[in-house]
Amino acid sequence: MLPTTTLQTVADAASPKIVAAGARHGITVSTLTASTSPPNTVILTADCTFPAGDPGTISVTETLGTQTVTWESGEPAMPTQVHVPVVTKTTPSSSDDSISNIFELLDLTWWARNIWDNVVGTVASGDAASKVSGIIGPLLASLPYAYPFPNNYIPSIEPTDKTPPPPRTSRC
Amino acid sequence: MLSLDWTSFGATDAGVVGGIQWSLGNRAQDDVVLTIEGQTYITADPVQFGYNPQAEFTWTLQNLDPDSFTWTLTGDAQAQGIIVASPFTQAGTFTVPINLPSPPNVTRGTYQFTLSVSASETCASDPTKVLTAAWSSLINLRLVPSQ
Repeated sequence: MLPTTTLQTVADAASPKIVAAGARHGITVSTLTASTSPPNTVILTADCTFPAGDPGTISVTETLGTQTVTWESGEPAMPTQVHVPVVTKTTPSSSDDSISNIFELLDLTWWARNIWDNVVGTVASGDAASKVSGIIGPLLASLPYAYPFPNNYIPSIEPTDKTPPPPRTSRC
Repeated sequence: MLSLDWTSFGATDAGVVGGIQWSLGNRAQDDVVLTIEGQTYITADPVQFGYNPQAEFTWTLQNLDPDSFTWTLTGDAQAQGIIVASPFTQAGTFTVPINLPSPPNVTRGTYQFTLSVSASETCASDPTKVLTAAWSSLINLRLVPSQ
């Protein structure tokens, strides 16, 4: 599990950039809060003071899910079709109707741009997901399908069958 | 190689949760993929950027946890650098500084370089086995002073 306290740490790390971006548009961002809601949403909420001086909030709601993807592997034992975690929908909202595009205002896409979209990325579903980013999408963007690692990470298992193993192939 | 198949991905009041089925498999040379993307034709204004423009490239690996991962620039300018990768970092970016000699040795025109990237991973249990990946491309830099 990725606890909400960790999500808040990620939000805190993004805070200076978002506060600065808001200031460029006359929006004072006072606090950023990351929260979750069952069964599948993560919400990043910013308490703000809008240019007219009115207090309010803006938020980004991400809907989580999985998506089937196909990848190539020369290893027959490996599955070539797997499910990966994705953000299926990203929904912006603002308590101030005059703030129409909070993502451009707060430059929330900076974080997605800074993380190379490797394999698992956010999935646009006719909404703003291809242009905007919340807190989970960029984290998922850095995850590969498969994780290569040295084979000495796997402890040896004492074989119960004493039959000599077949000769090793060139695989490692 | 560890492959993850996510059976669920959602949230509770306490945080983000997911279910995973995992598989372990071998890796062979045929499984290894190295992809490099970036500008191979660069136009630079020395008045604006000086004679040391930079080029950024993105890299993506599949099925390689390299213990050596480097880039090398040869040609009209030389440079080299190290790229850091890990099982959890199979993609990223690197920046290549193109350090041309200062004027009057360099004038407007097109300069050519070869950018090479190579990665290798030595098998932990059998050092005679090595997985490798390589890429190279010609880089053209066109210096066009604006004034």
